[in-house]
Amino acid sequence: MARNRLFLILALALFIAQPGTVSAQQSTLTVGSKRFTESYILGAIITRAAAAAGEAKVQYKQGLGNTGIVFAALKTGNIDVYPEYTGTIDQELLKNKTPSDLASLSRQLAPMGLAVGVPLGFNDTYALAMPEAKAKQLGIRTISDLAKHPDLKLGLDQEFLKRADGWPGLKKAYHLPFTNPEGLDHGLVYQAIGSGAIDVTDIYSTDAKIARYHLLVLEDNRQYFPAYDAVLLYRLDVPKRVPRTWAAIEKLKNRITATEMIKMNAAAELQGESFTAIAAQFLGRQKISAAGAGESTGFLHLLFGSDFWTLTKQHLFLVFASLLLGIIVGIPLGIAAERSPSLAQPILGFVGVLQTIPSLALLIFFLAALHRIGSIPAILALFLYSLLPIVRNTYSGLLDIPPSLRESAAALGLSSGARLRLIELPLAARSILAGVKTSAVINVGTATIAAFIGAGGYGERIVEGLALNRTDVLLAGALPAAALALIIQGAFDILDRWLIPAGLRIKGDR
Amino acid sequence: MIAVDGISKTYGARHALEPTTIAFSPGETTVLIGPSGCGKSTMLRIIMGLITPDTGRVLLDLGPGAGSDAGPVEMTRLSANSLRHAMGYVIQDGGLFPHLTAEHNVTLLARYLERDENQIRDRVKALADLTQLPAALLRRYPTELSGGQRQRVGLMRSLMLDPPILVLDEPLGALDPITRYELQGQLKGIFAQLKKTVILVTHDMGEAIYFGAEIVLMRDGRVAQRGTPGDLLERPAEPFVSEFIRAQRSPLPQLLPEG
Repeated sequence: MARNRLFLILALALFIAQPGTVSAQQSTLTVGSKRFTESYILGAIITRAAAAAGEAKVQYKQGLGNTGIVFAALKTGNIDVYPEYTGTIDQELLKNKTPSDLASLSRQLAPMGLAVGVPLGFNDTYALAMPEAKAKQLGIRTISDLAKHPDLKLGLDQEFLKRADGWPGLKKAYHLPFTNPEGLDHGLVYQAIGSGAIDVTDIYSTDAKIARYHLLVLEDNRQYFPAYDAVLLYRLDVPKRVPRTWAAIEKLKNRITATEMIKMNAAAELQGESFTAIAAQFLGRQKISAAGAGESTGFLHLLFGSDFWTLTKQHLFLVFASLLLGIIVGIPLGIAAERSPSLAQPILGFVGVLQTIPSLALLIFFLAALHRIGSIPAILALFLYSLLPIVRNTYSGLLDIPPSLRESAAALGLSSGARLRLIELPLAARSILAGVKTSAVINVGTATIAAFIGAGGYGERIVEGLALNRTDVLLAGALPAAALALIIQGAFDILDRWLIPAGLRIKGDR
Repeated sequence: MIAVDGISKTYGARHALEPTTIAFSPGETTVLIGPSGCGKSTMLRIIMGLITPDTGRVLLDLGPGAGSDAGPVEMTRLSANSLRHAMGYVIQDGGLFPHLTAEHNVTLLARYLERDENQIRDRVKALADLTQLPAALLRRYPTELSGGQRQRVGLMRSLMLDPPILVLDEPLGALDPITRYELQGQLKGIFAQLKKTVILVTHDMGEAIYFGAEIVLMRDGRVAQRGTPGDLLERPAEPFVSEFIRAQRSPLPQLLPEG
């Protein structure tokens, strides 16, 4: 009885939280972007230009993660187009040893059903930079000069550190002596170099903060870095499927200069403008509330921005869909563990081990195993995390039933199924519900990680805040997540009254 | 009739019950008594099918009208549930389910067996009268009842399907002396009125003599003596019988003036 009620509530929560389904009639175009400022902005510009064509429903899955994740999303059709750089396609994705031109890249991509085109007009190359003052003091001007100063502390972006066209190749080409550069998120390198924690870092040449932090971009005197022309990487069928939309996107060709890109990056990172506002300004439709920077992004405005309800619904969907699975699987597992002592250790051990897998690793595992991004791999990962509290509490709740009550139930002549349903589960209800509550609250927190693979939710703001190195954006995601955890905790406390049999709530003298 | 045929039970190295054969007469009250650990509760649990004996078997003859064909049925894992519907079971403090009201405790099995709702209602009323439980208390949860009230509800629950057999394990053990005295009287009246085969376990000799036409005194997993109170007092089968009776310090002579 109590269990039925629980399912009813969860089903209702899912129904409310379910993201709106896309009508099958209208064709859709899904734009993706990587998890750094420039990619966010370019994605927003493409999205806005595409939507203006009025032909297809345009979705924007922003900040999906690193190159590997976004490229996988494109290959599997989870997204249709995203901004990429020629050097990255050439060396990182196609693993070419010698540089290729755009036409050759397209030929190589065609077998995968992909194409490259629409050069946007600027080159955003990798470069190394260090504080001007320190460079002057040490007489460093080129990357070659670095070799003479092996004591310098290097802090490099995680992805750069691993990429074939990144640190390993650079180190070899210049015979650099540094053995253990520190790995950081690109969103944090400027802060690190500004505070003196590191001396040299990799940057993108269109980064907005180069000037602000008074950095000297070291000359690539051996021409190690290839050209990183910003282009669009897209699925071959897009131009045919949505021709008018594609025509609108193609108009972006050669529209963005490096100076303009630096300005737009600065607008996002230094003036705190939203990506949509920047995209709108760029496309010449300044209709976002305030023209000036800063004013439109008061914290409350940021917190309850237009995406608030969408993110809330996505977050709730992730939490409750995974929780429902957790209940459907977890309660029977807990019952099995209690019924059969030989199964107890394997079951409890297994769900315990699941809990120790880092959440990001589990997400990436499901992403790779299912060949897709978005809510499904996220829900599966969250589901596995929700198992431990539910299984353990079901198990211990049943185990704690006094033997005299079990005997009374058996002596009545109830079948074992009826004993479970009528006596044992209701008696364990309090413990089981506490487990479900714990899982729900944990899931609210863990679900924020799901934004790394495009599942949405409040995590999207956290990821964005991290990429922009903007605490206010990060908090606009973290605070609602914390509040949601508290609300869910409170809601479960109220549910207790409804779900836990009245007789168990009376404080007796027994 | 309940026939216990050569049952024994061992827990590790401890013999909870030596091979024992005993029969309980239909329509009579038999009291199992003995010190703690003598095997009386083990025997009771084996009769209820709650424990599987190492050897031997339990045969139940439920008589005509009990659903089964005339003739004894062996208590097995398969037959246990249907046999238990013919056996009421009451334990210390009632063994009530705390998540159900008194009434739902009483009607749980009948509802599970989908008996007629009107009959259930009438039966609950009759049982409340029989056990002298005020009807208003039926809506309460076990924690809201006194010990004596819980025991009455437990008795109602055991009698719900009107079973021919009633098995009680220390039913009055948790009660204060006054409630206990009052319930002893009522129970005896109910047993006499219902003419059921009753097996009652107690460790109190006064209670045993008060209830039992037949007393089975047990010691160390075996039957020390079986007989009427008079037999046990005047013709003890072994010194332990007299020792046990003496140790109880109950006002036996007054209870048995004619000896």
